[in-house]
Amino acid sequence: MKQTTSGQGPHPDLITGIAIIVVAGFLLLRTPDMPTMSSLLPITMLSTLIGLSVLMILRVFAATRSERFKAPRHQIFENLPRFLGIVVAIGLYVVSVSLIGFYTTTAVMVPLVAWSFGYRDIKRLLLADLIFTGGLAIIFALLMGQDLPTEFFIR
Amino acid sequence: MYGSLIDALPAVLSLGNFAAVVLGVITGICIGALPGLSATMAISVLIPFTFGMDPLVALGMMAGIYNGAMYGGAIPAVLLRIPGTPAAVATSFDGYPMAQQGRGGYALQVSVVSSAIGGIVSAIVLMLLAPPLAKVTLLFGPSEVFWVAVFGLSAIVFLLGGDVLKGLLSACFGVFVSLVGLDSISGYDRYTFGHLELLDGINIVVLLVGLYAIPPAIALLEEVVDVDTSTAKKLNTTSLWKAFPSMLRFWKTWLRSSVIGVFVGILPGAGGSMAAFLSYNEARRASSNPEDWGKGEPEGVAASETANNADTASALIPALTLGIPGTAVAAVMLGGLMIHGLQPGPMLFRDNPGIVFGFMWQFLFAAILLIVLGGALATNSFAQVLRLPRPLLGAFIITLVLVGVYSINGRMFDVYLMLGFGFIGYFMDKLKFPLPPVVLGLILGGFAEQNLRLALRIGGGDWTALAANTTSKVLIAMILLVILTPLFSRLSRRKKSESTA
Repeated sequence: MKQTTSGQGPHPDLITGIAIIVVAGFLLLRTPDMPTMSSLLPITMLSTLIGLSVLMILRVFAATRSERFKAPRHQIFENLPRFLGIVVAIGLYVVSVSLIGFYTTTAVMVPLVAWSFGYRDIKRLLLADLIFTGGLAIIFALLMGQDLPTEFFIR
Repeated sequence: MYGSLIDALPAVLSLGNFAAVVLGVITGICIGALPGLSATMAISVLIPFTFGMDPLVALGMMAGIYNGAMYGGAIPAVLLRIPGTPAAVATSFDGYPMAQQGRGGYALQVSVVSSAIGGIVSAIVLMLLAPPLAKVTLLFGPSEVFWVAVFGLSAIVFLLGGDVLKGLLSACFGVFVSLVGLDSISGYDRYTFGHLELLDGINIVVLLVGLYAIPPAIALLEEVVDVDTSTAKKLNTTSLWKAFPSMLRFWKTWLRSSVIGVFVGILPGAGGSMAAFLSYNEARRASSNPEDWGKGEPEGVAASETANNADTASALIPALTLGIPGTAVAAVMLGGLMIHGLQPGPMLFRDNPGIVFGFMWQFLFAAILLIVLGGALATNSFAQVLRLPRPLLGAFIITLVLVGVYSINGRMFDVYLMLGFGFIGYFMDKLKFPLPPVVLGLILGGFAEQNLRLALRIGGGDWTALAANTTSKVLIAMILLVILTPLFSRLSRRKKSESTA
């Protein structure tokens, strides 16, 4: 994992801390409606999350002023365009499974994703796809009798 | 006490159960050999597929994967100096120089024999220690169980080291996730936001798969890694049985490293990499030729591999008896038990002795099978696993987790939830938030709350009832010890460094 002492933009811990405070604060607003004993642990946990996030934020500020405090800045993305590509591919896959069926989507998306992310041996790719999708069909359809999102052509 | 152990043996030796262990070991070695993929990830992916299986078959596969992956990590560590699992880092210190000297095959044989010995010792210790410990914990009431859960939570966070603040945040997040759903005592639905799917709470498998399987799958697609496998072709492997007599001189190292591995495994939060490093250092200190270490000393490989496998079954001692998983893999295994309706803890030994003792036997068999499958049969073949193209593997894993999670309840909601946890896990991993406390929080949070409220009901709402008996007081003292020790040691370290400055 890459770690840098300086970097552009706000410190990731600062953004994370603020995000946790906002979400925990929002969830905390729902606790007054709960019975007292049901709300005990949620209040404790959310308050602790807020408290710890405040400490994490303070640590970031303290680290900029004194070397006694350390708040290492970790690199989040190895390769941002590839990460965004993965998010889009996963999103597309999930939506397609619901729309056109599991096996069709898998048969199309697995080679497409592997090809897009650098594996260009088409013959091996198609063979692996056939074995993988066929294997899943044998496990889920034949052995387990599990219903997966139906294919569009047999609906 | 040990009668049930013998009774469980015939079921384990049935063809289906035994085949599951064999399959698990092979899968585990292959996955462990792939850098970036861990036993935790493999078991997380497997869990949804085990729903329809007999619990012993499912647990046998998990035991096999765990043992296999701990050895499999040594393959790229020796051949490429890329540890397949974090626990194999110390193996690469001497294993890689051996491979460069053309002794890669021997290094892998030392690895596999040492891994098997560590695994066998660990399984025997699990068999001997877990039943009496479970018998003691059966006497615990709700207040003691509450403190045990708190002990588990505090222990893992503070023993994880590194960034304590982030460890605590992770644990709080896990505990909070455990609170989602219908409150089993008051019947009030908490944080379901009108989603009926959340009334039963968040399925532990959904969280585990998301946290442990999605981030490595993303990493496989995200990082462009060109692995040079040319060393894998030059293993110079002779028969394991011919090489075995030359390894007998490591007996002291095997013994010492097994003890270290078992001890570290029992400690919550420590794990295989700590066991391997400790053992490597101790073996080097005891060696007559410490100057040769790091240059291709096979004893170094033996020390590291024995310890990281000796940690496997022993990590399940607190997990099975108290319901406190000491490592991430143990936490995932507890998740596996839970989806089969088996609640980890002392009651497991009373209600399902066949399964829990059978599981212990499977650990022992998996360790023995390592020699047959990992050594004599196919060390050369497993090394070829490294050639699998990473983008294809990433696509396979994402598909497998999606279909696995969907098949739990047959609904896409779980898939969306799993992906949500997957991306949270990805960012937590990148920002160095430890993941095991989240799982531990999820397992122990709800458990602690339920027992706290039961104890308060029994005590008529009196909070002092929680610490009324001696066992509770001892447990509280242990919790304070776990929390305060790192704090004091940190303060004393700071004082020392200031005085030297």
